[in-house]
Amino acid sequence: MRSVYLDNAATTQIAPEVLDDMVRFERDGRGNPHRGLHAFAGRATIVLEAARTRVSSFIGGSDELIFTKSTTEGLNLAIMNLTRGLGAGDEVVLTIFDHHATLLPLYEASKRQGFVLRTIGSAQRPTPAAIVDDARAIIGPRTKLVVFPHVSNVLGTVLPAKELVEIAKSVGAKVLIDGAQAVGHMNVDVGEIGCDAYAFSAHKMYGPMGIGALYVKRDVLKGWSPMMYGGGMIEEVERVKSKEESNDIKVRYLTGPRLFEAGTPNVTGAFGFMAACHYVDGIGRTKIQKEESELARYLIDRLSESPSITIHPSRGSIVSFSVRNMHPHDVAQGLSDHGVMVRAGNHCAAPLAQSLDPAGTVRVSVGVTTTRADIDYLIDALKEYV
Amino acid sequence: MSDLYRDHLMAASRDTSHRGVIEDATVIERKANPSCGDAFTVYAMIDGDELKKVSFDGTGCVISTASATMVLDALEGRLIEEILAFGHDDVMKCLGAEIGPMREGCALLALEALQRGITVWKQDL
Repeated sequence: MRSVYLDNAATTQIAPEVLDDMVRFERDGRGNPHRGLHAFAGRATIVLEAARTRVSSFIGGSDELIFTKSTTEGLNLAIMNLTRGLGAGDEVVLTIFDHHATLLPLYEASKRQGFVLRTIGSAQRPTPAAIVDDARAIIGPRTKLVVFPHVSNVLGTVLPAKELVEIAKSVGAKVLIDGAQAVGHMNVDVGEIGCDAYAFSAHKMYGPMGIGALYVKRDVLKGWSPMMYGGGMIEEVERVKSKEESNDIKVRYLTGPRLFEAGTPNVTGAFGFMAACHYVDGIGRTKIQKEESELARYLIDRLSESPSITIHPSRGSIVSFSVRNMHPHDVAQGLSDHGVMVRAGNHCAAPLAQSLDPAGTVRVSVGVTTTRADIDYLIDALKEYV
Repeated sequence: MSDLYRDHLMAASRDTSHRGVIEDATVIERKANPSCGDAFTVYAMIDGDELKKVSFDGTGCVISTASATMVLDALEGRLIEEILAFGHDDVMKCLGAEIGPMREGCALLALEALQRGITVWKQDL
């Protein structure tokens, strides 16, 4: 049976050249970076720091880049620090498009600290103009933080990042962007956007699972606390007095990204992340965006042929739809039986997905290897059910 | 590393001209190299904008102690702003040869302690 992979918004398939680079790094001798003076440790250190520079430049970053295990970890680290000190009377603004990776840490922090979460945007009107109008109405002097995805993982909507940052900055609020769905599909320049922090991951852009990155403006990073403590994050630990009491120590932490990377880093993943940047830029993000939009447009045209399919207002590389009298999970299972892989349900963005359809949606997301033949195959497989 | 270069570094690492404590130092700053645990304390006597006298003590490898001696010797008598602008390439020039990326932390240890101490001291002025 043919396999047609159309779930690129969940994860992409790793590019062969990325995997080759990672195998080469492992095979040719690995060491622990920043720990040790021998050749393999030196090689690992150089690889890790070169990857940091390359991954940062991929999104136009000239400030600090912290390696994480996922976009979610980066978003949690940022939210933990950007909400510190907020309480009753303060507001944090998020959007209807937010993924659970921002919604849930914000919700938990709001419960603990007493600040109010306010939501902007509408599932029915996912246009940049409507989002900006809503932002102008809601963001005000109480707003201390604005959080949004650069691209919606349900609808593919590209949020007007620069405009939202301008509105947030006009009231002195910080801005955190979830870039998971943007980085593999379009040009991203955090300098131009002007956000304070931007999180993303390698596996959404043909790189390995298990590594992500959080870009943070240098001035903003000062004063942040890490989520984990351990090796590789200190300048010095000294025992100051008694040999018996273990809490009689003096600690001086490193500054910069390594403060947030306690423990042995995922160097192989970082190398793969760097290779993925080369892979995506080798194709060209302008070209990727154009071709994916054309494929999605073609899919929408083909889906429109069936009167029992409702297509939600999708953009970019993502198409969400519902099939009349059929639960999305049953559609996805049926397609899977034909070798077609799509996502069904809430897409970890329940408020948005449920406002489109209480049962959630079927989501098709294309990538750089998707062809029109894949779309035709999907449509043929769907015909059995619609 | 050539034998000649090794000898040059060994000699500098044994040089005690900038070793020890300056009792009435304006700036005292300790810095450790996290990858090995070596740590130096740098003592600086500052008069106006000038570094009048500078020394260090602590434990370190041949490269860190040799570099500390040569770099501090080059900086003694210079202006504060020159010291803060002194960079990686300047340290390598003092050492006279490339030492490889894994040893750069050693070579920069004394300079970074001095620069951090001066930066903090300036903020407190």
